Amino acid sequence: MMRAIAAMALVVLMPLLSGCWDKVEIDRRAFVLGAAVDLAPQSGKVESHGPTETAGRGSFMLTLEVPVLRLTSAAGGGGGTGGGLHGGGKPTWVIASTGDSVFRIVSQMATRSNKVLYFGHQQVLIVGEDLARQHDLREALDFWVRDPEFTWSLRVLVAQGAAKDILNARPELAQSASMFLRDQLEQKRKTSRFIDMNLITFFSKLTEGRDFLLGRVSVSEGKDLKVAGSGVIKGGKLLGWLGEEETMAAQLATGEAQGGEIVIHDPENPRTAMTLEIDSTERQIKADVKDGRPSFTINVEMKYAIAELNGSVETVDNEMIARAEKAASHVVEEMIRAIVEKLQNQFEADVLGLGSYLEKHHNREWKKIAKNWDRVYPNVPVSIKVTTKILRTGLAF
Amino acid sequence: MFADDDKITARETLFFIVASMIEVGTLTGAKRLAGEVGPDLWLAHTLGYLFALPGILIIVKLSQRFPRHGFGEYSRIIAGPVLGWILSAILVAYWLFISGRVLRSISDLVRVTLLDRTPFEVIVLSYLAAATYISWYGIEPLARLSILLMISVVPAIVILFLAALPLVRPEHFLPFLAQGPWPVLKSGIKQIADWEEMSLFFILIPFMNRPEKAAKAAFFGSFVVWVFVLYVMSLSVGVTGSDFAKTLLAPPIAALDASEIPGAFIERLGVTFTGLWVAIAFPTIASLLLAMAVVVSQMFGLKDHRLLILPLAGLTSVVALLPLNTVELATFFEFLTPFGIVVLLAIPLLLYVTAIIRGVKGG
Repeated sequence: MMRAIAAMALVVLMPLLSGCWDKVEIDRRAFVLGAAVDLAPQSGKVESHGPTETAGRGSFMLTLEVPVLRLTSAAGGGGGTGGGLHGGGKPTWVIASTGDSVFRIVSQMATRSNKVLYFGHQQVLIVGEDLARQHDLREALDFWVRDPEFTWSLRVLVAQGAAKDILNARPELAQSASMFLRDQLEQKRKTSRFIDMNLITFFSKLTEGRDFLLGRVSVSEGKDLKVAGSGVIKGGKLLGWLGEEETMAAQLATGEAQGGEIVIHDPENPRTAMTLEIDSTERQIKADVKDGRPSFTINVEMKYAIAELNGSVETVDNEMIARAEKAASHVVEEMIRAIVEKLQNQFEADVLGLGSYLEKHHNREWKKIAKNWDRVYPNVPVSIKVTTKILRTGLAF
Repeated sequence: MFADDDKITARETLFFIVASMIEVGTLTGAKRLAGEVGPDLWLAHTLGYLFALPGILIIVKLSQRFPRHGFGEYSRIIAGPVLGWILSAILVAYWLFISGRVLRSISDLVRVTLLDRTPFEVIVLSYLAAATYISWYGIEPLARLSILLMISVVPAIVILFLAALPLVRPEHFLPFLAQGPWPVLKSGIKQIADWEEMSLFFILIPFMNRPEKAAKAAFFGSFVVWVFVLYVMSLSVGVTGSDFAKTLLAPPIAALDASEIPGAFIERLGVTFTGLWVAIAFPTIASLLLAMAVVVSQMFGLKDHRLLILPLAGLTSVVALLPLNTVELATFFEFLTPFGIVVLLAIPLLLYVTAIIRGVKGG
C-alpha cells in the first residue's frame, strides 16, 4: 500500500519538478555588455541612439549596450553588412534613461525591452566625468555591489567627458564598444599606459578609503575609442587626470607595470636609440619615521628585454648592456620622481600607497599621524632608487 | 565495503564530521571575522581551533566512557535523572537552533545568489525534505553521502579557489595585531562556538564499530576543517581586503566571482562555487536532525528515533523562519556563541570531571 502511495506521489510530483521558477530561456534574455553612468542632464533630454525615458527626479543617467543577436551573427558572418539597429553598422542596441536610482532606471528600461535585461555578462562599467567629480563613487554605484547578477570581474573605467558617448562609439575593430574595451584591456602585457581594474578591486579601494588611479577612456569623432591615462580618485571622487606616460610612471612606482617600453640613448653614441621592453617590475618601499616625520624610499627593480636597437646597430656586448642599464635606471628614476612630485604637489593624492604602507608596516607610527596624513603627505621626502637588469636581447645578438 | 548494520568506521566518522562541520558558516564567517579582527582573521580562526580542541577531545573522552550510550543516557547516569534530562534538553535545543541557523543562512544565500524568483519557503522545504530523507535511513547512508560529497565537492572547491590566487594582495593581511592581541584572543574564544557540529560526538560513539578510534577521527576531522576554512577565508579576504569583506554577505563568493581562468569553459566561478556549496549544507542539517532525534528518543526512552525526525524537521523550519530579515538573521543567532561555549566546553568538562570523581563508566 505504502509503495503504491509513494509511486503515485512521484508521478504527481514529476510535472512539478521538471521546471524552476527562475528559468529564463537564453533567447528571452537581453545580455547587457556595458553600462555607462552619468549625471542626468539638466534639461532632462537625453541624446541617445536608443529610446530614452525618465524615471523619477533624474539624478543619474544610465546607458546600456545590448547586443542584437540576429545582427551580431549577420555582421560576424557577412562582413558587417547587416548594419545596426540605428544605421550605424553596429549590431548593438544602446538604450539610455534617467532616474533617481540605477535600479529604478533599469526597472523603467524593462518597459522598453521585450527581453529580460540580464547583467550577468556585463563586461565594462564606465563612469562619466561629471558624476565622478561630484559624487562619492562608492555611494553612487552601490547598485553594482548589491545586485547579485553582476560578475565582480567586470572592468571599471572613467570617461573623459560623458560616459554615454563611449557606448555610442562605433569602433572599427569590434561589434560593440563594450567588447572593444574589454578586449583592449587585455593589452596590459603590451603597455602600462592605462589602468586595468576589476569591480572588486575598485570597491575594495573605495571602501578602504584609498586614493587610486582608475583607467581613462575617451572617444574621438564618435568612433575611435582610446583607453589611456588615468583619473586620480581621492576621497571617492575624481580629482584630475594623469597622462599616458604619467600613468605608466605611476605603475612603475607601484610595481604594477606588467608591460610597456622605455627608449634610452647610449651616452657614448647618442645616435643610438635602444627600446627596452618591460619584462617585470618589482617595487619595495622603505619608511623611516623620525620624530613623527616619515620619509620614504621607493626601490624599483626593473627587468627588460631589448626590443629594438636603432641608429648605429652594433654587436650588443656586456659593456653596452651595463651602459644601457644605467641609462634605463636614470630614465625611470626621473619618470617616477616627476610623478611623485605631481601627485604630492598638484593632486595631494597618495595613489602610490605611501600612507597605506605606513599603516600596514609601521602601524604604531601611523596611528599618530593618520588624522593629519592629508596635511603631512605633500611634504614627505620620497627618494627613488631604480635598479635595472637587461635579461634578453631578442632574436638578434 | 560497507556493513549494513548502522555502524560506521572511524574513517566514515571522519568524513561524517568534516561534512557536518563545513557549512554555510564558512561563507558568512569571513564577513563576521573580518568585522571583528580585520586582517588578523586567520589568526583568530586558528586560535579558535586551538581553544576548541580540548573541548572536542573532552567530548570524545567523555562519550568513550559510555561506548553503548548516547548523551541522553549517560548524562543521566553521571548527573542524575533530572539534571541529565535537563542537560539533554539543552543539547537538543542547541542543535535545533544550529540547524535552524544553517538552514536559514543557506536558503537566504541560495535565494539571493541563485534562485531569486523561487519562493523562499520552497527552498527551505526542499532542503529539509532532502535532509529528512537522508537522516531517516540512519547514520550509515549519511556517512556514505558525506564521503561522496567530501571527495568530490571539497577538492573541486579547493581547485576553484586556486583561480583566486592571482588576485590575492598580501598587504590585505596587514597590519598584524594593529589593535593588540586582546581583540584577536577575544575573537578566538568566540570562535570556539564555530565548532558546533563537533558536539555530534556526544551521540556518535555508539554508532562506531571501533569507538576507541573516535579521538583520532575527531582530531583529524577538525584539522581538515581548520585547514579548509583557513584556505577559503584567507583567500577571500586576500582578494577583497577585510574592510570590504565585512560589508559583503559572503566574501568567498565575491572573491571567486572576480577570479578568472583564462580560456576556461566556466566563466562565472562564483555561481559554480555557490552551487557546490549548496550540496555540502545537506549533511549538516541531516546529521543535526538525526542527532536531535537520537537524544530525544533517549530522553523519553523511545525505541525508535526515526519517527521524531519529521516533527524535529518541522521545528527546524520554524526556527529558520524566525528572523525577519538578513540583518536580524545576523543578530538573532548571536546567543549561539555563549551557548556554544557552554555546550562545547563547560558541559562536557563538568560531566567528565564528575564521571571521573564518581568513577562512573558505561558497560
